[in-house]
Amino acid sequence: MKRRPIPLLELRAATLGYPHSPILREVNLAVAEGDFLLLAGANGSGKSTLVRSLLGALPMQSGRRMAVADLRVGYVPQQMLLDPGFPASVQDVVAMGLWGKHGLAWEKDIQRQQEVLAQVEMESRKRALFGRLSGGQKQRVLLARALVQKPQLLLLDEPVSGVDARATEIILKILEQQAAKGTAVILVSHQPLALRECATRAVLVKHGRLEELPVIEMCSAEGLKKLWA
Amino acid sequence: MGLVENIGLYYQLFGLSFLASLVVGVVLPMVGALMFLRREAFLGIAVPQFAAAGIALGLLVLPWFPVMTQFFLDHGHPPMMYLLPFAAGAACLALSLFGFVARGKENPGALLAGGFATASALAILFLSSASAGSNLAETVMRGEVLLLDRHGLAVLAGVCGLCLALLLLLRRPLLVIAFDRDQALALGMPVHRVEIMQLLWVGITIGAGVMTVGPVLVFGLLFLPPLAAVKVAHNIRSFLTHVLIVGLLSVLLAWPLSIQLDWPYGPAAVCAAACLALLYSICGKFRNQRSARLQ
Repeated sequence: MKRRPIPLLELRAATLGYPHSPILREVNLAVAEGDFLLLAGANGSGKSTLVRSLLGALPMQSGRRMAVADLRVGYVPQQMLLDPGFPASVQDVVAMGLWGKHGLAWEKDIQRQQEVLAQVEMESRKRALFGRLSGGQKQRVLLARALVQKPQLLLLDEPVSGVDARATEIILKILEQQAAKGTAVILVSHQPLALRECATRAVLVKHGRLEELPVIEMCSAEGLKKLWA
Repeated sequence: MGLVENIGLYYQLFGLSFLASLVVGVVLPMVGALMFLRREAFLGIAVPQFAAAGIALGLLVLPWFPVMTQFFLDHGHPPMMYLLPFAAGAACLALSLFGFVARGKENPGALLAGGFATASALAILFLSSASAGSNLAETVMRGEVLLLDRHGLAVLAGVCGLCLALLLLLRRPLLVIAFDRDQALALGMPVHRVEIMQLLWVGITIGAGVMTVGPVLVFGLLFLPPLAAVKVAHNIRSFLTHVLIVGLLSVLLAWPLSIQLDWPYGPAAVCAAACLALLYSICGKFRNQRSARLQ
């Protein structure tokens, strides 16, 4: 019998949301190494609440959140939520991914920053102001920021929403490579069709609950009907 | 006799005030830069006004403290360490109110305007009821940094020095939190602790600034240098460097303006900062046009 891998991050019987206004109830979700989990749901269904709770940014109303010790989480938010007037260069933004680790920028860290910028094909724009990039470029830079710390878990909130085809292709290719190397990936999207090739698990967020579905079903016309119904 | 030939004499007269202006010229723009990066620049207008109301309250209740009253009668002002808790407490209260309560509200601007009006009214009411100190308060409100004594400079330098040390020590978590708070949590940074520490020290620094150099100078140095710097900055380091340059240039240029034209020092420094912000804005426009042409 194949042994189920130990989860990197798990929510058990969790109620998520805000005091006096829970958004998701009875949430049971676990992700292990190499999982590529697609979280799909209509706008306002609670996907971002779930992501913020997984991240630990939103206190849970009840239940338990368990994570392996010193879990390295690479987080990619929706780029439009960030201040476009913030005077940070692309290099500054990527460097922020390492700032939790130690106070100094070591030579190998600078090399690592160059590597991830090359990976997301943004090396030529490393001195540009982050706020002046296009949506797709910003999303690639945020992915580089998440990758620079060699994460065990990647948490991405709508990374391909409003992004051009080329950027979507680059982002999804990198995520597939990361999952193949053993990184767990949780990706939130309300456009599951684009992800049918890479996702290994799919969860539908609807009516305040989570429902795990086969990826084929979630990424099909029927799945979309369920999503928007 | 010209200004340049008499620098030595002026330094003898205004040396302490000159040093105080350098201290606030470095520290307040850095505090303002942080508020600007957190998209909380609007707080720069209400918080100093609350600190001023705190000072007025301190003067109102001065007769309850005989030792402080005697010090006031001997020196013409109460001890700085007496006024500091009032000014800093009011500034911290304002920061908590606007920073936490207004977050996520639909119209934080209205809350801010209401707070500003209330703080202004309270300052006037407290001062009109205070038995002593209204002249002193008026001088402080006008930004007459020239009257600062050794004790005031020591308080200002101590508070600002600690604030600067804290900003330097916590610069990375502060910058990550300002850019993307959730990312800071993902990195395992102690976000709540850093935010509370920031709130306390920013409040104390603004309180000390208002108490010694007046709210006008504090408003100007919090707002204008970041506003100027962002026009030409190409990364975080250059932004902070330009904030520092504009802050220091403003307080330095204000001295000849204040002495030659007999302007109160605070408004003179703010005018200098506004001119520099305008200059930076023009430079930024030219630079953007040039880079657009090159692309």
